[in-house]
Amino acid sequence: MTEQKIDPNIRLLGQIALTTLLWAGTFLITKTGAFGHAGSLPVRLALVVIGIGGFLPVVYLYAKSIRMQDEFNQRVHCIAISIAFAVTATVSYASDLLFEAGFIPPMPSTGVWAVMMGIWFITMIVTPRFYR
Amino acid sequence: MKNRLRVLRAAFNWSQMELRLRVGVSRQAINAIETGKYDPSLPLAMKLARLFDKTVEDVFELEETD
Repeated sequence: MTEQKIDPNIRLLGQIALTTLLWAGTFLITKTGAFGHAGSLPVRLALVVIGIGGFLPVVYLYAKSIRMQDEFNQRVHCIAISIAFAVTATVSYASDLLFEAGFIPPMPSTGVWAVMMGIWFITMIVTPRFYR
Repeated sequence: MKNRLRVLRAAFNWSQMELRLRVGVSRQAINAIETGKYDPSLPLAMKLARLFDKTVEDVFELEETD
């Protein structure tokens, strides 16, 4: 009987789907107070562990997906993350100054990396066009 | 860096997709190398040269401005 090998990219997509569900679940648990008001130390600690534990597989899969890329796409990733870092640093520094000056409310820390992910995603789409 | 990848690929009657499957990189990488927008690493350059039964110097050429 021949063993059907699953395409590595399909397997990766499946793993991404699972980890996204896991992360979404842990995010809901930690952010929406599903356990009620976290008063005691063990509950607060458990929420932190659950939150971080649900996110680590996402980081691992991201690193794995980069390793699976060829050298050209790894280079595109490198450029994209560099640009995303520069833009994010500028945005967060500017928003800090604007907040200090009283123009805007404080930017949540999750907003910073949401900006980074957005810029990263856009740059990943745009950068390959410069190599055509 | 200039290269003769497109010419060699045409001589073998391979599409970019076929070449990328033989070498194990993406089609975007092959296209970027052929257009001179991307210089491959030494292992990849050697793989490409070996595929066409050439030396690296036969396939890739350093330009004056490099």
